[in-house]
Amino acid sequence: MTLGTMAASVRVPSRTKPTAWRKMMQFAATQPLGAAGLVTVLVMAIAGALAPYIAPYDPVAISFSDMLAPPSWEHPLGTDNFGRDILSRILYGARTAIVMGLVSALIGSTLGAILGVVSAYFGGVIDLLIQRAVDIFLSLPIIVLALVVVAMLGRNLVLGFDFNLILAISIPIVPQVARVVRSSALSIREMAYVDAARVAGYSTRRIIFRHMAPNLMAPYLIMLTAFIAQAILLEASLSFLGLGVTEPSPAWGLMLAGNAVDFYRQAPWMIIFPGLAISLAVFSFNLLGDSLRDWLDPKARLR
Amino acid sequence: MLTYIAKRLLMTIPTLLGAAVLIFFMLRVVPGDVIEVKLRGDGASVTQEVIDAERSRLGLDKPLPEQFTSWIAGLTKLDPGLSMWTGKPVVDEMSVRLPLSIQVAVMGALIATLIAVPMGTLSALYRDSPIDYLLRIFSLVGLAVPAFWFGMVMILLLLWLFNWLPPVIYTPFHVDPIANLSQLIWPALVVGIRYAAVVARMVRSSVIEVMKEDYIRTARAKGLTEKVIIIRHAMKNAMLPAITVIGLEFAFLMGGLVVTEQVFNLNGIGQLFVQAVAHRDFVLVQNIVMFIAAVFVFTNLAVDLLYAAIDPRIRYR
Amino acid sequence: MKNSIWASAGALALAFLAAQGALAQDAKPVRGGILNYGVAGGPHTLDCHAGNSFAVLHHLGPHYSTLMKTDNRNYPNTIGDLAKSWTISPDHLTYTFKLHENVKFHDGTALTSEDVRASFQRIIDPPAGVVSAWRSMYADVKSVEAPDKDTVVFQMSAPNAGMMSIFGSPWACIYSAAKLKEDPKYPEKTVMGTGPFQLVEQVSGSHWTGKRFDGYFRPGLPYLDGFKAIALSSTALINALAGGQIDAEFRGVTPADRQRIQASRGANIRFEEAEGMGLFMVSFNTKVKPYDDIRVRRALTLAVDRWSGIEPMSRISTLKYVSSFQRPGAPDALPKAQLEKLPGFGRDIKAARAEARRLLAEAGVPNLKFTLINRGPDMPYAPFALYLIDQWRQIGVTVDQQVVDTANWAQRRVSGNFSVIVDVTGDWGEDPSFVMARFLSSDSSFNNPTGFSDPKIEQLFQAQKLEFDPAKRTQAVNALENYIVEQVFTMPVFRTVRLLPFATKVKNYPVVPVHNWLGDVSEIWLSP
Repeated sequence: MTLGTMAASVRVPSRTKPTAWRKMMQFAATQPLGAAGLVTVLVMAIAGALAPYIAPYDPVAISFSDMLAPPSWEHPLGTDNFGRDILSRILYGARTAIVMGLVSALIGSTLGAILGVVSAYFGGVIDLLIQRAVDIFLSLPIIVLALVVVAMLGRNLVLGFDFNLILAISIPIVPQVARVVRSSALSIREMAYVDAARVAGYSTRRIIFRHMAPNLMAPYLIMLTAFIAQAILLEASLSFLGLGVTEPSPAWGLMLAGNAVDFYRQAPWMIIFPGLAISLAVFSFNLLGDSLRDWLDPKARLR
Repeated sequence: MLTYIAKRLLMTIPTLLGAAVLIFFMLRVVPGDVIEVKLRGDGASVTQEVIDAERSRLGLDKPLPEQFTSWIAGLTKLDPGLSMWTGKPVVDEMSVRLPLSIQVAVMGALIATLIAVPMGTLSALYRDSPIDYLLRIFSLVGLAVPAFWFGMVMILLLLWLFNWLPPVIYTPFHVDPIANLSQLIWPALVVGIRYAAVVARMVRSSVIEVMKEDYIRTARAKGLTEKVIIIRHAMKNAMLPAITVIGLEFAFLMGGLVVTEQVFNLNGIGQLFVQAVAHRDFVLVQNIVMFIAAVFVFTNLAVDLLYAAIDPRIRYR
Repeated sequence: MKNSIWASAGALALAFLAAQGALAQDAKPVRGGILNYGVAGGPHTLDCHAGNSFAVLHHLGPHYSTLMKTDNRNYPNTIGDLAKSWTISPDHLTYTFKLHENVKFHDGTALTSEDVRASFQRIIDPPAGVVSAWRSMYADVKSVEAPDKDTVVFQMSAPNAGMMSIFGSPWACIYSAAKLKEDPKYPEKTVMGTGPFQLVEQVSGSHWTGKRFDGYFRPGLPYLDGFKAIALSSTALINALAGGQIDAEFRGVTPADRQRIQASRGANIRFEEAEGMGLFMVSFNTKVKPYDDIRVRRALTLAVDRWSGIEPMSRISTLKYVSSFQRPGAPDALPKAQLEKLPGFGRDIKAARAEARRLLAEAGVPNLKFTLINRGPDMPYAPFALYLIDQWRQIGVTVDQQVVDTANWAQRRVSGNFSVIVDVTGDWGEDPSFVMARFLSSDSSFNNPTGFSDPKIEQLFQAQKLEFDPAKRTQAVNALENYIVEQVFTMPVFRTVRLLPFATKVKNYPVVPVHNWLGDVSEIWLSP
């Protein structure tokens, strides 16, 4: 137990509910690794959001005179075989990765959570049907499912992002979340306060949203970070295989695809930096998720 | 117990059938089929009659439900059909490549278990110590590094430092063990490290849970040495969830092979799948997906049954 | 004493010169050895007549003979393979071939003219269930006969100046008539021909081995004991070349690959190149506005700076030449002066772009936006499209790329589901009668995806087809090519280079532009 937790545990309970800021501070104090993860994630997200303003070059601007330039003051991370600035592409790539990861994970997790809760609450035939469907989707590996969906749907750009790709990445997430949320929801359903609410005559909707959902928030949040990490990795793999984001959009996986490998002696920075970026993003989200789990799990607090 | 097994086996059928329907119709939604790739792909020119004749020969002009039923009927007779790309039986195409994929998967699992179990246990026993942090970070790094990048960098390092490349043709282990291992150890490492990361985390939390149990406290109170406690009591019980994860992850591994085989140019099921998708070889893709789904489903079943067999508490639920 | 010193000095000098002379001559071929080469794909069929991709012939080529073949020392002339001699009637309607006498199939049976006849018959008029991908090339052949066991006679229904080249098609493998009679589809399952090598084993997706056929009709050949063709993805191919596991590749590598391979293998590898047959173009759907307007199409071709772009493109991809429909080094190629007058091929890019902007404004679409359908993820489609998009940006045209896989690309191209599409040719030979055939009007050519029709094209095509005088034919082909480039329904941009790696021990393979044909492997030898 760190000094921080000890201090927190003897603090006189305040009358007001802890603010979000205070919660974050508590989190940072007790989970230094998680804090590091959170900070990294936030830095990446901000860098990605501000990419159009802070990127030194246009990520798709071809400049044959600067081909394969090593890292220098002009090009901090070097240039690729088209003379495109790698730092700019990494920054814009952060945007693609985090937006794709976040949106896919949110869509997948939310859909999955709804399915799980509905399945658990109503039981019976509805539960059986939903579970059969979940079983079927769960029997296919993530990348296989994503590959076929991508091949099936082609491309559909919405606001500059490939919506069909987002769909392909979210679809494998739905059954995973549905399964976990269903078992959580099942155990909660048996709990006394849900029975009480039902007896008191509250509507189904109210019970689900106001009573069951808040208790599912913690596992949901933890799962979300894990799935954002999974989504980022999946998008990188698909782009690497040539089936994800396509040229000239900057995406980390795409920067490693094609004949980037051929330039590994002349320009190793072409391969090193995108790989590091992907690893760092996934690592930070996983770290965050792990620490969230340690922090939110009430049993763990009783160490 | 037997009824439980029988019930579970029966339940796999609708799952597999559902997967079959799903993959069948998903594939045919996109315009463009294997004929286009075969006869029009290379910039050469072929007349429409030739295309139509080929299409009819492969049965692609029949109505979809009919194509589906003939496929399923074939499956029940254990004849998955002929590859649309090469015309050879699917069984032949897959059986040539299966030993390689299975060997990589098994080697990966072995490497993973050998690394993960001691790592996870140490991490749990020396919780919150520098060792724990180090091993946890190692786990997270193993999960975070993209497999294809890791593999790519590995090959390039081998070429750059030693001017050496793993053998490009697969030789079975019993024919030439050295050539076989020098080719397959690298993808097994890539696949195994990721696998190890997942298993290590599971082992860690499982051991932590077990060490909190009452019977451990009793054993300590009885005066048994820590070592005996760990080995004789804790590990056995901690291994149960770990075995579950090892089993489930094995099935996930088959999915991971898809990308790894691309990077290492292994003539395995994963690469066959990617090529088949690129060729729009529906028959081959369907059958590979069904095969992988079956592996998943039966691995899950086996793990569940193993769990039920080992843990008497579950059996009587 | 002095005399003897001079004598010995003289003798030494003579010996030295003689040695130099010997070194200067080609070393003598050595029999033996196995050639390991890589192929970036497995064969999708074992039947030459049905194939049209390099992966098929790179495996099947060593096992079969054809009637005529391309002379790889005098490209693009054709010489006889199974044919020992031939005569052409003055009206160009009868081609008579005399075959070599001692030709055997790998199963020991002797080849007769009946086998040649039956094989060509199969191509020209395939029985049910047999795919003959090249049938249309022989549209002018009326009949094939075998009057005696060493003679084959082709009767034409119309003269065709390209017919001798067409007889040299590497896809017209000669099969056994007896086996064809039993089962017309036997070539799909069995590899059995009269070529220099016999099939030993093939493992799907992995490798293909052949060994010397001792009954090969050319004495002393092949020099190699055998070969092993290994199926590899393109990256793995380069890795394998760099790592020394394969010694050759016959399709071509990129200049970046070359650097990588050279860095690893140093003096043990050499590279040879020739102009390639891969022409990268852009096709417009002339049935869709505004591409029905020739001004828009002209503008889009004028905007692309071919001459400045080719140097950097050649460093990062296999695209090395600025080219129109004929290869720059082809016998019927447009003279450079004439080429540079055509839209898109001029040297003054500033003027060209100003003209392009003017044309777009005149046509009413100054800020044109469109989606370019491209194929992926292979090379060099990606850099090609990126370059074009960048060039079009310079005249204010915004282009978004949609990359689809090969099946989808082929299907969209044929069904007209595109406005602007990246297009490519990969012909197996030079003759304009088939290279230019694809640009015939859409209603007569099945491979013109643009929907463009103009009887003048047919006229000019027929003119070159009936012209047997080489100089006059070149002029006729030039006229045809000139006209097609000016109409811009398909705009040619860059051509590939065929850059081949060979381990220094691999000798005697002259590199020709064609990449889908394996070439003559019977004369390759390995130095010990």
